[in-house]
Amino acid sequence: MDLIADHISHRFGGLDVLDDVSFTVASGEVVAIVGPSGCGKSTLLSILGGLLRPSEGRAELRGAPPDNSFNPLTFVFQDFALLPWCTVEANVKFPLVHTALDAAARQAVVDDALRRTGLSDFRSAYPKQLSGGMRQRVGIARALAVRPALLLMDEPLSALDSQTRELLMEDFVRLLADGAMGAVYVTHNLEEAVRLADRVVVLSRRPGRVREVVSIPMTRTERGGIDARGKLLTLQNQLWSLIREEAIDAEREVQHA
Amino acid sequence: MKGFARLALAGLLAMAAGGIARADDALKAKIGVLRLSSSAPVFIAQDKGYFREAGLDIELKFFDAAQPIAVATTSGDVDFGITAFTAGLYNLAGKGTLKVIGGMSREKAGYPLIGYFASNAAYAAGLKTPKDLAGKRIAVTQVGSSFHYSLGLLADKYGFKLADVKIMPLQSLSNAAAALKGETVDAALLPISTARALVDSGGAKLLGWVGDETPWQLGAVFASPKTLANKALVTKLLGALVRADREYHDVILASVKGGKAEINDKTKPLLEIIAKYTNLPVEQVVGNCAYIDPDGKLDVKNVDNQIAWLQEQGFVDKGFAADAIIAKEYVKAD
Amino acid sequence: MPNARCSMLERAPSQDTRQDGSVPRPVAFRGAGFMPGGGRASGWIALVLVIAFWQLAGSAGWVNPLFLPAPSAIAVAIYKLAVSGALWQHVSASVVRIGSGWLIGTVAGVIVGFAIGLSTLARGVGITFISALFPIPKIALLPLLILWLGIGEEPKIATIALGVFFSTAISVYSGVDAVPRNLIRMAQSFNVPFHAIVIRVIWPGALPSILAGFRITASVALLLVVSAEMIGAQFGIGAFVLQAGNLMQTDQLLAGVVILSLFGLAVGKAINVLEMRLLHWR
Repeated sequence: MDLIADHISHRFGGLDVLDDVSFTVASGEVVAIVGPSGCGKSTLLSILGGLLRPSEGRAELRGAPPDNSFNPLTFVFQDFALLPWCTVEANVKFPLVHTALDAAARQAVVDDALRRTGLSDFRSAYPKQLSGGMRQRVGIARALAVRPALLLMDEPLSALDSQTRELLMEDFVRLLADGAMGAVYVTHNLEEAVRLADRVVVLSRRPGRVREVVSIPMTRTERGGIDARGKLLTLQNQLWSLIREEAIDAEREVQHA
Repeated sequence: MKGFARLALAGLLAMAAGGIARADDALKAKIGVLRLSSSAPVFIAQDKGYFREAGLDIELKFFDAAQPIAVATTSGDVDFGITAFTAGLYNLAGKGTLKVIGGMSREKAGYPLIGYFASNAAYAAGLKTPKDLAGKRIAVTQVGSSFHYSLGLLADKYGFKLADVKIMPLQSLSNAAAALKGETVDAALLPISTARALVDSGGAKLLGWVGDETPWQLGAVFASPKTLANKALVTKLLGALVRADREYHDVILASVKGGKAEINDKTKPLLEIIAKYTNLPVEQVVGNCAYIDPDGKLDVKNVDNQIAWLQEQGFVDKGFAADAIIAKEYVKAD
Repeated sequence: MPNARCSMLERAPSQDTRQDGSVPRPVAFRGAGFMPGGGRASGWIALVLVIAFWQLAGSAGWVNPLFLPAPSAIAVAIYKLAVSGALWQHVSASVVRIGSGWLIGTVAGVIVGFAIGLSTLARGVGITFISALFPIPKIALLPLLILWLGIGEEPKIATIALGVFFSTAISVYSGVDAVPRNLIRMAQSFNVPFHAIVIRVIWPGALPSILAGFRITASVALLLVVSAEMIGAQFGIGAFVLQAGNLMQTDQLLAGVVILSLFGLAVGKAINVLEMRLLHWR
């Protein structure tokens, strides 16, 4: 199942946020979206996931979703969006309750998602009792439980400290390793982008346009090696040079606003 | 020079003495009163200067309910109170915090004050006379009020049990009037001032007047024990009041025919005084003239009956009778 | 030498208030206060002291018992009321009125509050009406209520229900408004149907402010029972208080007030328990 951004433009009131954005996320592909602050990255993701109606253009799907998927396009949120009155287990179960699964099958799916994210021992904890990293793991387990074709991840690590980020990045690499699941990964962190993505879509400053699409010519498993570090850094610097000028302008603009 | 100074000093002393003498003459007092024509003699005595002539400097304090007057008299905020007897007043008096010193308004045949009123539906269903009130739902303001007692007297007169009547205490006259108009009660006891508009607009029917059925002593003058100790003050006040009682009786009450006072050259000045103090037009005052004994007498027997009745109902603490709350040295009994 | 230095140190503060910086000294603690704790005993002790002083003032004859009956007189009044059986008649009549009025007002308020929180049309209409009608004193409407509903139980319950309704509707729609939007978006992103979002996200999310609203409306219902029982009530704590006031039986009046306060305390405790059970996740 491919996800296509088809000439998407968006305005908030009189403010142009996105301008004619088009690209395709192929089945199983991981695409990172980067760009200066306020370039409409998160807005674009909401449009792609059907949570926001674009002013022009549209997001479309091509090809059948996997038949065991309950929710082909599934979000992972920056602020985790966990229900504070539900336990870890109930949070993971939440999107399954209205599906056709019977109770036993549902429980099996939940158990599997908890195991894959290392949360089995925390199933009866409440979100307030967990660290930020654990909370995002609950968010990921909840996303895995519906067996998505594509994860829409909106800055999933930016609310976390750097050590936790590192640990979760390893989780992402592992979860996306088999290529069964694709992802659109919105981030302002270029290191995360080159570490995870097959391709990086660079947006210009507001209104966001596709400025360049950079392919990362390595498999994700290769990138973990020590000799890959230099290459990745070069790519990261290349991306930064594309963004830097505009990031400076964008920051000034934000300050004025 | 020396002589002149002495003269001036003597003059000053004389003036000061005169001043003191005048202050002594004019005894200051406050009277708590309602803006109702049942207190007419107080307004007449104040307006025509009878208090001043008796050597009193009276200030009228107006209240909007009977009960607070009794409380204010007890607490010393006013020296005298003039209002209707209520269970609350008797409870205060029973604790020795105030005593009755004279009579005021009465329910008396020919002088409409409180009436029995039927809702249109109940009237159509056969509630035509006060006697028919037995067994009906009847609105009053409060339990233990004048209205409740009037109903008790009616029950005694016609030999029905008060317990058979369903008393609905609605706390205010406007609530009682609304219940009557809305036909959620069969009848209500209301003062003529409240009921007139209701009857005139066809919202209720008049069954009769309490004064015609069961005359009784409605209001009184009372004072706290502290005030009673000032014999000169009380005597002068009662003297001035009786003078006004007599005038009110002889001029206005004497002209009452068919429940209404005449408006003529003699009555007009007094009616205008009453109108001024009650904030009512003269045309309404004439139909609203409470009977007041010309000598300010008090129906002690009836007061005793009131207390006994209220005690029997459990509204007044037991253990005292009329003579305990009446200042015999001042009260002229019927 | 260490000794000498030590003694110098000890003398230092009295001799020289100037800090010369060579001497190590503790950083002064300045973070005290502004954190009131929940002392359990202090409230009760204060209450007992006030009652004791009140009783003393009464027994010693400092105050006229008519103006302020002593606690013992109030206790006797309550005891007599209980022994005569009238207390239960009054309490049960009032409990029925308060309970049904509160329930009706709450159910209606929750429904209207949710409608206002969820629908644009209901919001426009509802907020206008609530703003217009909420400030009307319910006592001023008593004659109208009597005309519309008579003097049976209906207007009494309606008085309480009306008072409860507006506060509930306001606290419910504020609660719905306060449910984090990201949780609703999350549920939508999982294709959770509308009714399930209302039941499983908005209701629990709004529950803290709904329960806070209950705390207020329960008190409102207790306040209004006195107004409600102005309408031809023969029994009821409110009617009892009114009658005692009318008859100047101040000990009975305060007995009724004490019973109303106990009601209030009991309801407050019940809501505490409810909050502990339903909002333990906070």
